[in-house]
Amino acid sequence: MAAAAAEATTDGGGKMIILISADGKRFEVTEAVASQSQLISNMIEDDCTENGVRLPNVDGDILTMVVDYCNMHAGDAAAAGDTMKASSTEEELKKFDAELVQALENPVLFKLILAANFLNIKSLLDMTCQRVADMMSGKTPEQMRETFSIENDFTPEEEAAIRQENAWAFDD
Amino acid sequence: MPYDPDWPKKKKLKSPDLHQRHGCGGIVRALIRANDAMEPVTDTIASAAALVGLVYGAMEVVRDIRVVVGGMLRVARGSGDGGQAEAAPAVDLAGACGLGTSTSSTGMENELTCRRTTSDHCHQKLNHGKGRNVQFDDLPEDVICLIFSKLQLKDLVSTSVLSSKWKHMWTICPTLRFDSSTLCGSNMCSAEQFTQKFIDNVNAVLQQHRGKLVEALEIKIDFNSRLANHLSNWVSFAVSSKTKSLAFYLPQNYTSNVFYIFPFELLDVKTLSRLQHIQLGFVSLIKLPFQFSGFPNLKKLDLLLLRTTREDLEDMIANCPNLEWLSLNRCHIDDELKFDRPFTRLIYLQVIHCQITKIEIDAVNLKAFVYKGFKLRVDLSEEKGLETVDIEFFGIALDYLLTAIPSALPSVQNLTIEARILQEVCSLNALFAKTPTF
Repeated sequence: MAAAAAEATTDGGGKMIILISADGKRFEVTEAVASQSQLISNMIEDDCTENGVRLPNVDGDILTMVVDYCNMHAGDAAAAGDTMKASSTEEELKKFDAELVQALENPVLFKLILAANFLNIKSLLDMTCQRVADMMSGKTPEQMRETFSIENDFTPEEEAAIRQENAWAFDD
Repeated sequence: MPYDPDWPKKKKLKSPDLHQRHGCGGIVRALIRANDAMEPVTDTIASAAALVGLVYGAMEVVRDIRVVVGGMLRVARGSGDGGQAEAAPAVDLAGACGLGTSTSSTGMENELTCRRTTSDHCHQKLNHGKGRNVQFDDLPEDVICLIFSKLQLKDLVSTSVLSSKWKHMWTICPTLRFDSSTLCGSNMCSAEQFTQKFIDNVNAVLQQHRGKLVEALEIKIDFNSRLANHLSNWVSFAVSSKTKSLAFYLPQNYTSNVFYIFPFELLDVKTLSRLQHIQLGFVSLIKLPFQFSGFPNLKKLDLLLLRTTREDLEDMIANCPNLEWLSLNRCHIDDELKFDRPFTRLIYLQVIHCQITKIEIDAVNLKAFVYKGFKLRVDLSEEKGLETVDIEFFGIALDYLLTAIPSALPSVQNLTIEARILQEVCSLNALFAKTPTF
């Protein structure tokens, strides 16, 4: 579906844009795909994508994920007029999104968040932040510390005092 | 439940039996059960659904039709490029889709989100070099805000104990959702203690947020009069914290009949123009302040079970000239609702089970309309840009579905109707003669 949308854009004379990652990897995408990034969309408007868009903050492996995501989601707008089509692909997109973030190690997930934030891709940022929130939901402080490798630097007395301050939040 | 185009038992139903007659009484819905198999679906239902599909399919302006009759059966048919109506079009019986096909979300839940500004992308710290392990607290503050705003308050506050770095981090969360079901613990206590616990906990959290920006404030608790003063204090807190989104959901206690009168007089001019979203559930909207200046920037207004009058409700809505999203859910005024001014930015309108005899609203750019109730009480014949309409009728005569609706909604791209049809008037034979031609 995404491929079809991309093709349609190309057929319609859509320009291709080169994205260059921090480690020099190049990704060729259509304007429609790239402009899901508000940052790049602004650059397209300002006509400064001629020589490729250098993204010194984004590693190649992260940019691969971002480009995959944008390719997959480029059809959203195209399918919006056709609800039957949209609802079938909605499922696919959800599955794709879930699989994209599910298996990621924390540092990679955080890098993906930083990339989504830098490139200003709202839906990707929202989805990845939701993943982090889901990782925190319903967890005890101990489990949260483990999940995010946080070292507890409180003395037992200090910790007890903080728990006391908002005691309701620590009731089980 | 979303429409499933790949439903494996898809069948074509051609030439519906339009001569089927059947007994009186009851609702068609009771006759069918949603199964994967087609057998339980009676000819009657199939015929009714097919007929509705046929009539709507003949409307050239409707591009995509889904009709759910009895909450179970879905007929979908596109009239293609809007060419000539076929004399006896095939109707796809996309089968048993189960109950609750409505896609509308009417609750107060999930509506408050932390809004990011879009112009700040160039001011963020970008310190993740290659090879460095990025951790949670390396994330920029606005991203942490976004993550925090997706957490339940209990989970959010419990992060204060993680480490000294985290101790106050949670207080940057610009979204505060106080829900008594999670805020007051599960310990059994009297209603009075429960309310007091809620008050104390909200006050304690707000105390720690004092002086910080709180973009969204949401309060959910069963109302009793002991809360009134505190609720007004929290409204004042919202004023001083530059809140943009305010939600008060205060279901009434069974034993009392007291509603909280929302204190509009506490909102100063700056707050009135700052507010973008308001959700009010189970509150009393009466006596808007004299010379109420309105909410010039309010985009979303979600009103649920308001105790109000026609004048106050009209006044409230008419004073939100830039509304984009309006929902009226079980707002009973037993009267008409009319607005003298146009709502040029309104793109979404939802009317759910409201005892309102008629709604006249000029919303030239309306894109989506959701309606639940008996007969359609909203005149949208002038809204030419409607893209999606979702209607759920409870106990409706089939002829109403066949004649009144097409003329009430002359131009819709995607129309979904779920109807529980009154069977006594479901005499298709007679109705077919009445069916209008297009």
